[in-house]
This record gives sequence, C-alpha cells and structure tokens, in this order.
Amino acid sequence: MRNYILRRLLIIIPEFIGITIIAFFLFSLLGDPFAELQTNPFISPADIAALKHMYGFDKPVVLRYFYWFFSLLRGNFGLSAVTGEPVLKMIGRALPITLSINIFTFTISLFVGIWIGFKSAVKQYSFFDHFFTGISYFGIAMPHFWFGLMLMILFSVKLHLLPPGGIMTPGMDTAPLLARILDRAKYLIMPIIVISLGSIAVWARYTRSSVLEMLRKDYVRTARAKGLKEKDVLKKHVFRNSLNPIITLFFLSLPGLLGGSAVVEQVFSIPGMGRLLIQAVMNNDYMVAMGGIIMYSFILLLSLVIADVMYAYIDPRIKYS
Amino acid sequence: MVKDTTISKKDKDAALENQESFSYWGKVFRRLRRHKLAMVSLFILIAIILIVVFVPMFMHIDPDKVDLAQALQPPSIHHLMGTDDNGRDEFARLLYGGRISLLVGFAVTFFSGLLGILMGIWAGYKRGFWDNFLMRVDEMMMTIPELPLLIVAAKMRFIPNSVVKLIVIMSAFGWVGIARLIRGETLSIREEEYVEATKAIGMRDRTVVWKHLLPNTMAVSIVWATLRIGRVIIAEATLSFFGLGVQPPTPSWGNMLLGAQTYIWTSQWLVWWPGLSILLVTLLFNFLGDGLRDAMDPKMFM
Repeated sequence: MRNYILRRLLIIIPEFIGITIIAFFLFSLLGDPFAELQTNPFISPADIAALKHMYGFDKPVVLRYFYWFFSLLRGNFGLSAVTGEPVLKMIGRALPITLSINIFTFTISLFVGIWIGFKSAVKQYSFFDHFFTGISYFGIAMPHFWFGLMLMILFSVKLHLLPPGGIMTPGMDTAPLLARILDRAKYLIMPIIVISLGSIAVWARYTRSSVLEMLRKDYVRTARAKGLKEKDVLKKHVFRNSLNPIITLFFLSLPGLLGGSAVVEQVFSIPGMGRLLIQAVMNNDYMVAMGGIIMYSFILLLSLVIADVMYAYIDPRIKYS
Repeated sequence: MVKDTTISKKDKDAALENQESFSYWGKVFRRLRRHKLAMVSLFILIAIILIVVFVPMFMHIDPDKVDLAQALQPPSIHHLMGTDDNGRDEFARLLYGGRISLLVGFAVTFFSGLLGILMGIWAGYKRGFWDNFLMRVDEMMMTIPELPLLIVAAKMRFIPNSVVKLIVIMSAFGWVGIARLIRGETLSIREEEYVEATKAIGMRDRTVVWKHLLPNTMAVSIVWATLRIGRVIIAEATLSFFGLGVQPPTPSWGNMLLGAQTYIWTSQWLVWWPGLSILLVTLLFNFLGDGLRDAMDPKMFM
C-alpha cells in the first residue's frame, strides 16, 4: 500500500512538468502582450523595450520557460503584465470570493443531489423519480449563463429583490459583520442557484444509476431473503456500496472548488477565480493566466491521486499493483 | 408487466422482435419506436432542422438589415420576436442563427467523433506506442481546464472565417472523450474469437478495422454523438457569449445573447428566444440520446 501511494505520488512530477510545458508554450503562441502598446503614440519604443526587458520578454521562449519554471518552484508566480501586481496577490484576492460561493454550493448540491438520486432510485418510476429526473434534464441542458440572465430578469428587473451583479453594496465595507454577511448573501443567491442546479443534477444522476445498479445485485436479494428490514437493506447494503463511484466523482470535482465557474462569474460580475483567469486570457496577461491554470491543474492532479488511494481503501477488491 | 390479457400490438411487436429474422439495427429501430419520448424528440428535432434550413428561403427578411429607427422594438406583427439593438429582426436572426448553431453542433460532433473513433480503435487494436500516447494526452487534457484552452485557441488568428475556425478548434479539443470510450470498447472486442479468427485467415489490419471493429463500436458512437451535439451547442454559445465564437454580424444563438445582457432592463425578449432555442434543442438531443442508449442495449428489456 505504501509503495502504491509513493509511486502514485511520483507520477505527479512528470505530469506536472508536462502541464507547465503545455501551458507555457500555448500562451507563448498568443503573441506579444506589448503589441498593443506599440501602436500607442504616447509610449516611446525605448519605454517598450524597457518594459520588455523588465518582464523578460526580450529573451528566447525556451529560456523564458526555464526561468518561469524555476521561479514557480520557488513559489514566485511572477507579475501581472496588465496591473503589475504579483500574481499570487491577485489570486489571493479572488480565491476567497470563489471559495465562499463554491463551498456553499458544493455542500448543498452534494447532499441534496445524493438524497434526490437515492430517493428516486429506490422509488424508480414514481412521481418523485420522474419529477426530479425531468429537473435534472433541465439542469444539464440549460446553458448556465442563460439561466443566470433569466434569474436576473426575474429577481432584479421584475421583482427588484436582488442586485443584478457585483459583490458588495458601496459603503458596506465598514458595516458590522452581520450586516456585511447579509449584504454578501444578497449578491450571491443567484449565482449559487445557477451553479447548484447544474451540479445537483449531476450528483443526482450519478447516485441514481449507481443505486439502481446495486439494487439489482444478488446480495441485496439475499439480504431481503434473510428477513432484514427494508430500511437496513437500503442503508447498510445498498447505500454504502453505491457510494464508491460517487467518492471518485467527489474527489474529481474538488478542484472545481478553486476553479470557479467563469461563465457565472462573468454574468454576475463577480471578481472570482474564474473571471480572473478568463480576463487574463483575454488580455494576454500570461503570468496570471498560467499561474491560475497551473494551480488548478496541480490541485486536480493531487485530487486524482487522493481519489485513487481512497478508492483502494474503500473497495477491498482493488489490488494496489 | 402485461396488464391486458388480450394480445396487444405491443406484445406482437415484442414477440416479433425476439425472432431472429431482424438484423440488429432493425431491432434497435423497433425498440426505439416504442420509446415515446425519444420518438417525439426525434420528430421535433427534424422539424426544427427543416424549419431553420427551409423557412428562411421563403421568408425574405434580411437578418443583417440594420434599421436604427426600429431598434429594440418589442414583439409585434411586423417583428414576431421584436428587434435587437441594431433594429435587426430577431425572428430572422433566430432562424439564421439556428442554422449556424446546428451546423457547428453537427460538424464538430462529426469531425471530433471521426477523429476520436479512428484513434480509439487504432490505439485499442494496436496497443503499444499509440495506446500509451493517447492515454497520456487524454490525462493531460483532463487536468487542464477546457474553457481557457478554447479561448486561447479562439484568440489565434489562423482562419479568417469564425465559423470554420470554431469548428476546427472544437473538433481539435473534442475527440479525447470518445477516443477513450472507443478504446475501451475495442480492447474488449479484440479479445473476441472472431477477431482472433481474422488473424488466423491473414486478414489485413485495415480490413479488420472496417469490417469488425468499426461496426461493433457503432452503437456506442451513435449514443455518444447524440448526447454530444447538445454539449457542443452549449459550448459554442458560451464561447460566443464571451465574444470569441461566431463573430457578428453572422448570427448564432450564442452571440445573439452577447448583446442581450446589456438590455435586460428594457428588452428582455432578446434574452428569451436564443436561450430557449438552445435549451429546447439540447433537451431534445438528450432525450433522443437516452432513448437510443436504451434501444441499443440488449440487456434492457422495454
């Protein structure tokens, strides 16, 4: 077991290097971030050259990659080419916002999704099942940004209940804590609904099919045949065993906590991680974009390892070879 | 469960189906025909496709005609779905946009499917280097978030036509999932005795792929493709919503929503129609795909 974990951890290193290479050279294909400055008559070529030198853009791309990679290893993510701020500081500002949305939506959709999936599998083809299967079809087929716009029309334009976007009412930053929390909640309700609907649908579908598969197993019939109460059969035999694929999905979706839904953040103008990343890509702001992607991918790699190891723990049939 | 004691048409169909006189595809079609939701979806989809292809030919409304005096008009007899901020007829744009969105959906699914199926079959059948290569690429693609990748690709200016560019980009990134799926299928098929027999009689690899592997992975591919089209349409809309997909003035359901957010306080109809169209088409493709999956699965008894 220890060898398995160790080997699994070691594979991360080449994969991580691979990701840095892909990310770096992909972005270097985008072209010069200072190209737009050259058309600006108020900036002299000497200034541009100085800027390029400052950011290291006068060196060949392979050299730049190694420089970037080794400073990355020292925990230096570089400076933003647009604002000149350190990348880590920008991420540090965006991350808490995304986390506050995601931890909430993730927990809700996990429990609600699994509960709905379990109930609808146990009562297959009942009204409950059809109703939530229908809703989950909508949750999967609905473009997130459009659903966001529709909620905005309903709650902001028609009912005047919620603000249409942003993160804080101006002047609220000095208010008492409780008022600040309530204010924040007002801004986040709609994004949370939008993200939750999609992920509840996914959790429910996964759980439903997993539980349905377990219900057909022979040992479930045996458990019933020996006279166990239906409640115990469902709780101890069906539910526990149907959790295995769900746990994999759980760890696969953990990195999503940091990622943030770029689309939803864009629609509701929330300055979170997703928006930071997308804006950086749009503005040719290499360092921010690469830093964001690298961080996300690294955490995803780690979670994949944890998922593999957890899976081996939970399912004794899997041999660690 | 049969509640009726008389022999209904359904039972007759079921009995017929169990006779060996039908080919696999014949059986699939019969089973699908009994899947009401899937059949209704199929007919509505065909109707939608016919409408967006043929109705504009007889309509004589120019979707690109700018008329600022008529800007942001609510739905009326003259403009069935109102007009947008440039005074263009929303109904005409919806139909023309549907052409583009559906074209992108079908084309991307077709090309990425073709690429993925062939690579998956080859990797699964040949094993070795190709197999390893494919799986490594697959893992890396899985760890890098997709949207920034697509945006980076969309920003490069290598093809002037934005629709063609979008199709190329999304096909280039879209083959990974199906390749993995087909590889898995092929791995189990190649262990079958009839594939071994092809080796014994000295059949060429190419013939084995065309005659045995491709037809036997078809069911998986068709289900994948049906479920995929909806996802592609949503992805196209998302990219266009960021201004990186289909470039105006060419309408697509995604870029029609791009301007709509600016006008949600006054002209909500601009948000409704394109979004509803995307939702409807995606939903129908999902219903059809699920129906097909049930019809093609021999273990399922309907």
